[in-house]
Amino acid sequence: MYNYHTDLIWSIDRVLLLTAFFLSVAIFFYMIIRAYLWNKRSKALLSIKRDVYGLTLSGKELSDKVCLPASSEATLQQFLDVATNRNREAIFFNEAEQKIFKNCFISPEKITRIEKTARGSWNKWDRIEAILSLGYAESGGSIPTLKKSLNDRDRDISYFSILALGQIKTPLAAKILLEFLKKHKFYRRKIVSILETFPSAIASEVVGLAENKDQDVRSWVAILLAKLKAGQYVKNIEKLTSDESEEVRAAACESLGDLGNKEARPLLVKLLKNDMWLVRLSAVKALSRLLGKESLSDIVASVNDPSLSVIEAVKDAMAEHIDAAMPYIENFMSGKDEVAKRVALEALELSRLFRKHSER
Amino acid sequence: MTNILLSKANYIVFLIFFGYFVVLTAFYFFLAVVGFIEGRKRSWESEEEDYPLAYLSTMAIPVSIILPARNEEEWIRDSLLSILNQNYPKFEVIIVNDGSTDRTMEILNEVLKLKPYDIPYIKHYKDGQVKEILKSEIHPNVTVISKLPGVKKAGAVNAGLNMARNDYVCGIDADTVLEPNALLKVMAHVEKDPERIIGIGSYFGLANGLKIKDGRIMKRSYSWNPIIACQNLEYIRSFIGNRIAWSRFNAMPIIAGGFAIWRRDILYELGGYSANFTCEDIEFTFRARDYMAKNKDKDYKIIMLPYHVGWTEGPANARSLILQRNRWQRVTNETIWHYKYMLLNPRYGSFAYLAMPYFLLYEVLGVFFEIASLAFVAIGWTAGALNLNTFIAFLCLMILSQCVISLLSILAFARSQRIFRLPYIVYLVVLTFLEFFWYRWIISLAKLSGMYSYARKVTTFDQYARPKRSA
Repeated sequence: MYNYHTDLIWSIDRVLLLTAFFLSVAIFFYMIIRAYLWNKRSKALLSIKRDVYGLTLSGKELSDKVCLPASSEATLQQFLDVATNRNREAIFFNEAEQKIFKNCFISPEKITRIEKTARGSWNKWDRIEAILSLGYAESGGSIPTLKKSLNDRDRDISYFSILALGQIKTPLAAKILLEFLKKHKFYRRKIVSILETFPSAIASEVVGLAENKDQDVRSWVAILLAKLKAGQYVKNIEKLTSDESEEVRAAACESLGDLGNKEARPLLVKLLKNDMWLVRLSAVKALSRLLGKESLSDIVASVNDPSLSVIEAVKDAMAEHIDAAMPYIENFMSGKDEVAKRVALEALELSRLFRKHSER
Repeated sequence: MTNILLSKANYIVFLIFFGYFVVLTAFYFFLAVVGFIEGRKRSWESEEEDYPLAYLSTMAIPVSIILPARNEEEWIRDSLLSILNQNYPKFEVIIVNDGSTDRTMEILNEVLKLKPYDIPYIKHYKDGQVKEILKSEIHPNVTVISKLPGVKKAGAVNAGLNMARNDYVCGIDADTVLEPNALLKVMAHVEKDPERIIGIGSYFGLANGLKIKDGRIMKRSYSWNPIIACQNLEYIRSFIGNRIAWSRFNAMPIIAGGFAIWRRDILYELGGYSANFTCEDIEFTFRARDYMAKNKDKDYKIIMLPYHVGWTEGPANARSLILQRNRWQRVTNETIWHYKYMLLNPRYGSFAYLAMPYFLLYEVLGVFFEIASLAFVAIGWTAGALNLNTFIAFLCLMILSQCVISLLSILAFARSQRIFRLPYIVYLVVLTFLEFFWYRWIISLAKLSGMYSYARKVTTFDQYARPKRSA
């Protein structure tokens, strides 16, 4: 009979059995405690909802005296629950209720306390909740704290600081976000999607990066200026259409289309002959958006473009403005160009789908 | 003299088995602990994420969803409607009817009101013969490609890829029902770093038992069938215990085809999915790893998230389970053999040292160790050389270590998800102690049959018999 370290194995078994038992009990109690905490969280939100609802009905001026403890003494978690509606399955707060609650919750002392947590809590996620709370409280005075956390070594803290700054839609917050976009290659798309919700006044900060040496930054500048409807900077965007990078040129084309400045037409028509297909494609799309059915006279010639993507874009534009496109379609159908014929047929087919959808 | 030699030989065999077991268990513990920590981090991220911003932004990244379907009359309606119900601003849907002979096409027509559509179709990827392309009259973002069968699921997905126009492509199985926020949650993560994230997947559970109507989960009643529950346990162990940890080290070896999002330029660079393997998902992930190694400067990432994005049908009996796992075993062997040069190759970084050894030791060689250990016990018993005390101690060690790993994964799952209620979690905990005695041996049998099929060079995509769904 062989006996290989049996005692040692039994000892390991005992440790494992204890661990398994401990984990089973932990799972059981965790589930019970979690359900209890979830109920408690929902009840607290319900209490806030009642509080806020009562205040709305009373029509009283908001002050420390009228706010009830459920609102003024809420935790950061509850504040974020209300401000973001992240537990909407439990209780939903409309915009007016959120506003009343915020007014009751926010006080200078509380902001100081939250800033302290945002700066130095040892628990990363407590820090993040505090950072987000500063943002949702729209605390302009907390921007220096958020700027510091934005440049934190921890990427998560940095990311949630971007979201927080995005809630404080001031030129200073925009400046800090643009500075970050300039310096770092990550989170750029997120920053642009946040900045597009800012007032268009920040365009003056954005245009300052139009000559940045990083081509990605220049692309984002072109896109963002259009999103902000910054028509006053159309010249800067036009300049980007002759950028050395094709991505920047394409982004600038699309931006000109989005801005709706019809004076950009000659430039875009010129770009239909650009040697890069991506730029030509963007020029077709931009002209179609900018001029609607009037664009057809400029873009139908691109039906013979070597790039299929460009041809597809021409077809889409024709289908969208099918009535205006009919003379061109008839012309194509009677001609000998097989590609043009096919595009004409497809545009007709596609237009029927467009119409049916828009009728609905 | 002979006795001494026999004793030494026995001891060496024991040490080999024990060493294998210790290495594997330590590895699993390591992954479970990392998965536990990482899963929690991801669920915090999800809790704090600003999803309305991601939804309302004009900068949302457009996605092409490809839904390959072959004889999926039971699920196609719910699967399609769950896609159309997505809370995501920009997506197109491309359904590929891969030569269905049942009512799949009829159902698609009922839901979508299809009509033929003449559009250029350019074959970038190997897809088989396309019969016709149809467009929905009521959902302009939905296209249906009807093709002849013959190039497996890879061919069907490739046909969809030929039509896809968006930056990211999401492949979904036709028996998968998505949660309404699936795309939003995953793409909000992609939006953080689209330059580097080339592939992303997320957790999905088993749909068996759920009450589903028009693509929406009406009642979350999970199946108590022990085979299904054990698979749920396995999915938790695999997704939450292992894959989240692999993702942490950027060593993801598989993005499951049930819900897989890839960047389209990468799919294009790599020529789409390959039909030369039994299934396409694991092989493509390995190919993407190769691409990542060749483009190290780009610092690409393949990520796994713990958010539950959907539900897929699992085999409900042992026979179907064996057929499914036979297929999984074959494709694992095919892929590992094809990409054997990646093993411990420094070019492939953590993938070469973490995921590849795991696949080789556990997924490929594991079944041999299990069978050999059985044989070892049987021979020892027959020869009267087996010490019952040692045998029971070792058996307990195997069961308990497996239990602890499973329990860690369940705890991580319970911390990061609110899917299962207390009674079902308790049921899963009980099953962790019992699965060794039956479920594990079904899986071993399936793996063994997969090994045999692999040796016979079988590469067919065998679909198990799908049960009728109750109304």
